[in-house]
Amino acid sequence: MTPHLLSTESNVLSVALAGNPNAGKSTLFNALTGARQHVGNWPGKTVEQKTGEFARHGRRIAITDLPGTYSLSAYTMEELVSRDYLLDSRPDAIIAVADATNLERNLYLIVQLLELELPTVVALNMMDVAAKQGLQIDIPELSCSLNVPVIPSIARQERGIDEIVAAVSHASTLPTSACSLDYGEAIERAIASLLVIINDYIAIREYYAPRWLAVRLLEGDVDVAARLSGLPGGSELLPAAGKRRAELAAALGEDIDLFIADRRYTWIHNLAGRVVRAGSAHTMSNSDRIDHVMTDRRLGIPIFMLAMWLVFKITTDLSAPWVDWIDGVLSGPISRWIMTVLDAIGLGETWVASLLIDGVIAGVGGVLVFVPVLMALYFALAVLEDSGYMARGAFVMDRLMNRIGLHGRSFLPLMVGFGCSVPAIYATRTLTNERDRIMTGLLVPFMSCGARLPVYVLFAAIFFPRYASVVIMGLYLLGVIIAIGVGLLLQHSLLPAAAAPGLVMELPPYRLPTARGIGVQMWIRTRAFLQHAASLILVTTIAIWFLTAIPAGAHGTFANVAMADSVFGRASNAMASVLEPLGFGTWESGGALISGLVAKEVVVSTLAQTYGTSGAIDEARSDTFLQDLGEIVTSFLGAILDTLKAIPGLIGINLSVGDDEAVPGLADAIRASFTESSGGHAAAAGLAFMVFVLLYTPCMATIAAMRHELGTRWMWLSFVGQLAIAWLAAFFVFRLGVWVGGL
Amino acid sequence: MTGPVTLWIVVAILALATVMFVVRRVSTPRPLPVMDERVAGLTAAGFLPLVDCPRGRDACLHCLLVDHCVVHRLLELGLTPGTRVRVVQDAGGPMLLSVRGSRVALGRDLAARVWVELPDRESGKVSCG
Repeated sequence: MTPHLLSTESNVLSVALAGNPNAGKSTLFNALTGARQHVGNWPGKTVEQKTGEFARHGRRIAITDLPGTYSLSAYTMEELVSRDYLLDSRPDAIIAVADATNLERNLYLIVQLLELELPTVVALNMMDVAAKQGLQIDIPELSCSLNVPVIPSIARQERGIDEIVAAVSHASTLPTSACSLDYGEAIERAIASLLVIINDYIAIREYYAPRWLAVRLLEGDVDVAARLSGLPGGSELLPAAGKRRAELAAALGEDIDLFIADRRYTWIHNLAGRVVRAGSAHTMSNSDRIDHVMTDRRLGIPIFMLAMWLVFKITTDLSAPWVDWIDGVLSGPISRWIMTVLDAIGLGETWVASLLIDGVIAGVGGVLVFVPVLMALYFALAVLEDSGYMARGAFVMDRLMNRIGLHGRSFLPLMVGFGCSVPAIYATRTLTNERDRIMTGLLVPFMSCGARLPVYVLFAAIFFPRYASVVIMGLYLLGVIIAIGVGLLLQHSLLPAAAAPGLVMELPPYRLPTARGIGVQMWIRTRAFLQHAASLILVTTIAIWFLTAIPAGAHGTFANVAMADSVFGRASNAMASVLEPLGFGTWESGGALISGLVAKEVVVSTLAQTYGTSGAIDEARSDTFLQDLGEIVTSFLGAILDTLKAIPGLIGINLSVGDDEAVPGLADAIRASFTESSGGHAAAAGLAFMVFVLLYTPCMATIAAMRHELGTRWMWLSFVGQLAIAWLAAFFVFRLGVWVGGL
Repeated sequence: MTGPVTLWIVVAILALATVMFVVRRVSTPRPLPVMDERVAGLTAAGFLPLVDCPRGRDACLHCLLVDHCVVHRLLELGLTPGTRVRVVQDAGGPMLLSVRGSRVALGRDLAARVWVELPDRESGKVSCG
């Protein structure tokens, strides 16, 4: 053995996983790594990056899952990310996943990968489906023509995995030789002339595969040109390439890159003709029969609405018992245990206790309650995606969504937004281009989430007792209308529709989702949320606690101060003057809105606190440790039972507004306060308050999700923009109410 | 309560402008760019846009009258000139095509700019991949 071989064997082998979307890339990735994977974003991009490490046959392998693409040109963010990774990080080997049932289209990417001259193994996946369709593939012939190992596999059944790993370990030690795709005489002559120049410069020749580089330059790849412009030799190579392009354009009479693409497909078509034995290309499959119904002119949209409604119900109803359970355990037994411990070491009733209970535990709770919601959402999304229905939904909704410059795919995140904005922001990941992701992410908060409902219920009952349901429905509608308006504005300003040329999307065949695939997705994505959003939510909660604990004036001491006299109270007071023109310029409502930044759920409870009407907290219980433990277990079992009970409810309609905790005196206090602050137009002010709550800056958790998914810049735009929109809308509503309605 | 009347007027005008803008955008469909000359030529030569292609019949892709960058996306999905395509579903919105063994959805605006040739029923003279 050569020393070279020995040294690589002791190291971690870096492998890139490339392939078309829906070719089974993720399934193979999961089969290889299990749950030992890390999900993040590619640096500076909103494209998801998955990496994982595993050991097989005594070999440690670090694998990077490249985004699914159809080619390696640089027209989309996904393609650019994949290409940059392959060029700059230089993995030891590539596993190119191909769908055996659709070889031609998959080979288009693979021949481009092979031109990079990195050790490559082709995993010919979905062999079982291909066999069922009567396709016979001559694997030795394919391997011979491509000049790389071709391994048949069935990733869903974990078959062929060991062979792929073995082939990769082996291939990475061998010298590579590209397959010889003949581009035709004219192009080949131009390539040859560029190769002469490329071979003169070591810096270029060593870094890029010469033939690949020549082809890319002839195709007029601006990204590659930019890479070369700084290198020695670039000043000679680029003008030469420009000249060849001009000559070819004149000779061929059409765009060179289109000509090259056509040559590739012709070559592939001939290869496929030799290798694949099959029936007719356009047979009516089971998938087509299902599609006949699912994408039907009349049935398509109702079926999609039903599917969306199920997703919405699953995220809310199935997770609700668990949210209650987590909430109950944290505010009950856990808080009590902490109190007991603190009492024992003499810190009970001090600010430390308050910080731990009202700051830290409340913050942890604020993070954890999202876990069941997100798990439920990711479950529903994984089923929709893995089954192939997601693409159909986008198909049927495309026409409607086009009107506001979005694609059909954006509908799902917006729908989820009615449940909770946080999972909705994460659901924008299912969109395929960055512009749509940002646009949809910015519109999500306008969908009124479940946490805002208690505010509407309370205020509608106070100010519009007879028309409460009409008012609440109107608010939901207002959110949608404003979202359409904002969508149109963005389309004509920051996010032009030119970047969204229209729907071009592959519809994968329907498949039965696997439990493993769904489980891994649920776990990995929820963990990513905990890692990224948790710290921000926790920090904000603790910060708010400190603000309420620090006295602003002479009254009170640290952690022992009336809310109105704390820094928080003073800040709320400052807010009040800004809210004055909206009709609810009181420090009480200001404070509620500020705390609503942490979570909309607390707006009502903060109102109760600031108006000083909250009931006494029951601390009188003195359960033993075992009793507490018993309570946790019983309530856990109760949550399971409730979840099971909720499943039939998914099909029936159940529009209960939740348990309204009667807060004695709060309604009267709010009415009196609003009447005073609005100069006698309490109802108009109440309506304006509801509109403000509907539209203003989303909660911290959503902001954290936005920063994670869309980047800091767009997060701030959303933060500031929504405040402005909310203020204007509330102002307009209040004035209109005063002027027209005389409310 | 009189309030800042000027501010109120400004807000009202802004809101009205937004509403009118929205209404106009939603009610008028996006116009297609005019490519009359080429379209007339293609029609005369017996080609037809994909939107007019009957469902369930094989057709031969002739050319793509779309932006360069969109052409690439279509090529990547196997829609090269000379390829056999078939409209699988046409539900008024996007069109669903069968191309090289996979199903591809194309927005209607795009499908109007993809030109195909239908084979002659008797002679079947169009031969494509």
